[in-house]
Amino acid sequence: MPMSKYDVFELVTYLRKCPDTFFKPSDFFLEEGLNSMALVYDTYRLVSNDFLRNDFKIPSNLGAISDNHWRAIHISTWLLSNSDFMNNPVIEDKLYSFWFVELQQASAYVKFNEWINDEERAEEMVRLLLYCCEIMPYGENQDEAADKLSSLSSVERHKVLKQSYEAHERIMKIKREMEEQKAREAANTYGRE
Amino acid sequence: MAVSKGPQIALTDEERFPLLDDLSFLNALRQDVFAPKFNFKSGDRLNAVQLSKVHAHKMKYYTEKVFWNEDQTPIWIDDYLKWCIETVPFYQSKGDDFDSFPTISREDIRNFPHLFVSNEANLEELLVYHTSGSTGPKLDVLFDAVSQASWLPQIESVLKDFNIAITEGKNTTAIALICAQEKTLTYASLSTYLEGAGILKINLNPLEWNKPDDAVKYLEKYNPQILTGDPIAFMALLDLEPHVNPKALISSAMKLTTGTKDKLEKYFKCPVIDLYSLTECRNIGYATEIGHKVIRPDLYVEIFDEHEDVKLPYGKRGELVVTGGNNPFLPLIRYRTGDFCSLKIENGIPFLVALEARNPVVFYTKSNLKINNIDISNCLSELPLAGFRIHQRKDKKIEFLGYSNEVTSKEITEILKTVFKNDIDILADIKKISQNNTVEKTLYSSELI
Amino acid sequence: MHNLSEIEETLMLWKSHWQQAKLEWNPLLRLQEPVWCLSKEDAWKEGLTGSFAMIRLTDHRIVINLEEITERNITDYAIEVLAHEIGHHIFAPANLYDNAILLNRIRFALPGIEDRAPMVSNLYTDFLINDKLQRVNKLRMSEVYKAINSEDNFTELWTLMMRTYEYLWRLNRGELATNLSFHSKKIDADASLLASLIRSYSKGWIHGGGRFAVMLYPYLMDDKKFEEARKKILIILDAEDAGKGAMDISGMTELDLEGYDEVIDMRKEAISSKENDADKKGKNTLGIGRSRKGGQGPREGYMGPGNYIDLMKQVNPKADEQRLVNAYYKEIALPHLIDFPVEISENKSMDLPEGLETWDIGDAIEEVDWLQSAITSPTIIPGLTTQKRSYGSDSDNSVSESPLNIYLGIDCSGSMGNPKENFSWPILAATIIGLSALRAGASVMGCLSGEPGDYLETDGFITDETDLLTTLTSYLGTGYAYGIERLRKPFGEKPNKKSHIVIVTDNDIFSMLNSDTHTDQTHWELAEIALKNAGGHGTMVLHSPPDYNNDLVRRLKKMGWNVYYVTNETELLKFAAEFSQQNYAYV
Repeated sequence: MPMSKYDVFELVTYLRKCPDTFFKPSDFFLEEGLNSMALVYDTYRLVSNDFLRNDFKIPSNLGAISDNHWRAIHISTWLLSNSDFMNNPVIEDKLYSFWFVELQQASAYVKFNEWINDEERAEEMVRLLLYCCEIMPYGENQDEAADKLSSLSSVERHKVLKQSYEAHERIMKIKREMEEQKAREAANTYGRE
Repeated sequence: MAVSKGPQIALTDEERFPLLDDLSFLNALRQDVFAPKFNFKSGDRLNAVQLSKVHAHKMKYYTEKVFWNEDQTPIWIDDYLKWCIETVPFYQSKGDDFDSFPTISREDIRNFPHLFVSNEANLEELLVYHTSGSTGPKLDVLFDAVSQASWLPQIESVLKDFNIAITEGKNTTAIALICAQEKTLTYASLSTYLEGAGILKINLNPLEWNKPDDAVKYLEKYNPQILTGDPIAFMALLDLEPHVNPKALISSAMKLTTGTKDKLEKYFKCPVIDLYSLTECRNIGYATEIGHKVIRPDLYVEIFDEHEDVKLPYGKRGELVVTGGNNPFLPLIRYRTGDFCSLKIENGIPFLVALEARNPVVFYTKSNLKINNIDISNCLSELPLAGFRIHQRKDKKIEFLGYSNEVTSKEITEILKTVFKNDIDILADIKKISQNNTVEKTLYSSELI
Repeated sequence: MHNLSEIEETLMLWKSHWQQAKLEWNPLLRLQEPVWCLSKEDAWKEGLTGSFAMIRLTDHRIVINLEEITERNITDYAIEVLAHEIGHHIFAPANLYDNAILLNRIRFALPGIEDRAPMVSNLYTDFLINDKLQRVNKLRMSEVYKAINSEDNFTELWTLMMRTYEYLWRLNRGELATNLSFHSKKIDADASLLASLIRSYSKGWIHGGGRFAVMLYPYLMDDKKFEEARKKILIILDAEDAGKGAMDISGMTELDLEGYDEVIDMRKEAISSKENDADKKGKNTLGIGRSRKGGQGPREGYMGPGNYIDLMKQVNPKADEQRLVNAYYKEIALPHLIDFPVEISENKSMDLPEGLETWDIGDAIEEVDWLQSAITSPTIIPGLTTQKRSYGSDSDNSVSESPLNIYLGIDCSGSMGNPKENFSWPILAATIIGLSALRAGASVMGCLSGEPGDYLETDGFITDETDLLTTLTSYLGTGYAYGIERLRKPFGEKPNKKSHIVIVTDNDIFSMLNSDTHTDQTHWELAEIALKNAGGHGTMVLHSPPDYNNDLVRRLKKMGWNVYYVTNETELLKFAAEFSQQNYAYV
């Protein structure tokens, strides 16, 4: 059946069918792990439709990439193997930012398997990719797409949760202190007020 | 399942007086043969850092007082506002410009005491004062030892205007707070700031003493340098004719009439100072010919319309609103005091003109026993009353009107009967609080005065 | 105002959808048709005052206010509304017991604002039900919300709820949370966490209640805001009072330790780093559990009576407080009562089963019909779901040797706390002995005494458990000791039947014994006479170190009194269990 291009729901469904093999750690961390560099390069080639190129943009400091981050990248290459992204040279130079900037930030707050297991995280990855590639999701306008992405953003959410958690904790702590007997003995009053 | 919310005795004396090694004077005050049956214990809880903060505050503001001129705001306002907006949850999303900043009220403090605590405040220093005041139901006021002890340098600056200084050191009793009530907390204490001088809070109610003469004997023995209290307590003290020679009497919480002031000055042969002070921010000013002289350069006073958040022009009469203070647990911005006056700045000093303070009202039982309105408010303050009016007629009958959705007039009558020692007739009426009605301020009045 | 015919049309329409609504859950579901109310007045009479629909877990009836439904223009959503109410019956909370457990767990997470628990519980179970019906059954739950929401009924709390649905069902922002002025990043973040909670806990929902409540706490803290929010969504709250009128729910006194561990702050969980695999499980609980709630009673395994009363009153707002207190002490006493007599000399011939009735704790244990009980409920709750067959029989029970009566005198003077607020060991002990005695067929007289001052006693020797417990759980707080004078009424003269005497007191009893009676007879003399007349054992249970007042103790013993020392109140339990066993158990 005909698939509408860049339909979020379909891409999410596709992503969530990710085969187990993509969950393996990178060979940077485990000998029998996935050849991360090969995956990345192959994806670049598929996207740009140029199978002979070898000069794609990768970070100079590959050692700084964590195991969790690599696995997120692996999973995303499955997503990128969807026909929506094949032979789509215009997005090639956007992948660097997706893999090595956005996914890096998100990986601080998302465990790799959540990208598949959690509906919302799967949608976040799809939308993040579309956003980095400057592609409008099917049936949405720019504002809608932006709002949906930000409402799913793990990075955003972390910041907000941290704030609300800390504010709430502080209030609870104050309330507890107020109940403390020692606080309630108060201190000298010198005059009528 | 209610946990007692009142003050609890919970510390050791070491915790009460971290910097005082020698507590012998304290023990003397407590155990004296004439001592009252003290029912509480209290200290100022100042450690070294806190004590130095009190001194620093004094240096900064009270040694040389710099206020502001008409149409000016104090120099510290901008930094203070910035700090409040950044660190105090309640103020965080209320605006960023002082001019348009909204007022806050006692209700706000009652409902959200925790939201006024600065994020920078150290919760280990948090102290709680559970108060009824004479208006409305009880609330928790949060503060720390530093802002509480700041009362002392503030009063020193007042006394300076009268060429009076408090002698420091142990073996002298610096201050005695005199009360004349049915019930109140009483204790003997010391002041770290005053180098170990004695601090007393006593209640003249004979039931609080072992023998009838003890109150007079105790006060004569320790001869406190400064006596503080309200006019009712001072008149009760006057009745006892103690041979004491205080350097000054400091009266507050209620209006000090000229008649009472003269009587007291005549007997005690010292200045009687009418002080205006609030639990929420300590001392604000004292009465002079012109009006109440503001003593706090760290408190910005403004006059606002009673109902709208509109600042009134200089000289116009309205509700007194204060900003500032050094209490990180309750920094005030435009706090509505509930008191009314107009502003006048003379020689760089602000005066609160014609300040309408609360009137002292004494009630009487049928057999003419005096009942202090504080005792009435203490009993009623535990009830969910939004406000009330209590009035005594010429025929001694008590008329009570309260606002509440829960309390019944029967309950009120029972409670008031007890306060008046079952020797009174009560007419109590309760009005339900609907969505729109404005509840009147709590009022005490009497045709017998 | 809608005319009756319009409402009646709605009735016919909705009646026709009832079967389908049941099928959304289970073809085998047996549930009575709803009580269809044609007018608001009818609905009020059925207890439906806020919402347009409600569930009563007590009699498993759904009540529908058709007038309100017509007025709100949701007549098209019969299946949705009916299936939702059925969901409360069959899925969450489903029964009174689970309802009570859920409420209790939610209460843990709302310290200081436990009164919000019924509303929170209702909102939580609504999520579970609605999510299932929308995503699995493909019903139009979102449309129902669209129809009943208006700009006015939004508050921060309601925006959070609707935004959570938007996350759950991947709706556009504002589709349900229509009032955009309340939207914020904070609500978005919280809503996304709540959505993941609902998705994760659909199976084990009772374990998610604590987390849900923690998330809602900041939105419920402010009294005024809460009142406002609740008023605005009253129309939605269909299960707040689901337990109203419920009979006693047993099994709730024990501390729900599992529940404590589930009071987890999901925000904290979410912000802890995912980079390492450290086990964060135990560290995110609020830790308010054990130390703060403080287990009381035997093995410190029970919640306090005050807490129990508060909880059960939330489960059933109509619960009678005295009844709850009685149930509380009875439940804790149960494991310590004597066993049921194994042999009942009863003529069993010609017994025919007549039917089923509820088997209660006081009934003989072998009367429980286990098969029928299991059909009623898979969880056996003694007294509630246990069924017994009632037999027609015209033969009298032959009476075995009757056990002695017992007089329980409890010192209720100043130092004793109020058993309704704090766990009371003397009252537990009295309950154990008293109920054991009743179980054995004896009569009991209970007397609380705090003299000089007050006393409260049963009307002589009684067999009614409720009267006994009600007397014992009262509170005096007067005087300084048990008043020996109390013994005069039952034992001044020889009673009809022999009786034991147990007096629980402390050393002040000697002051009482020595005190002036202003008559010719001293307390000591009365004590001696009473014991002789009673005819059974007399025991003074003294909370005291064992070597106090030695000569006075010897004097008591010479009269025939036993003196039992407890240095620690918890030892009262041991005394009570042993005493009951020795005097009332059948071999």
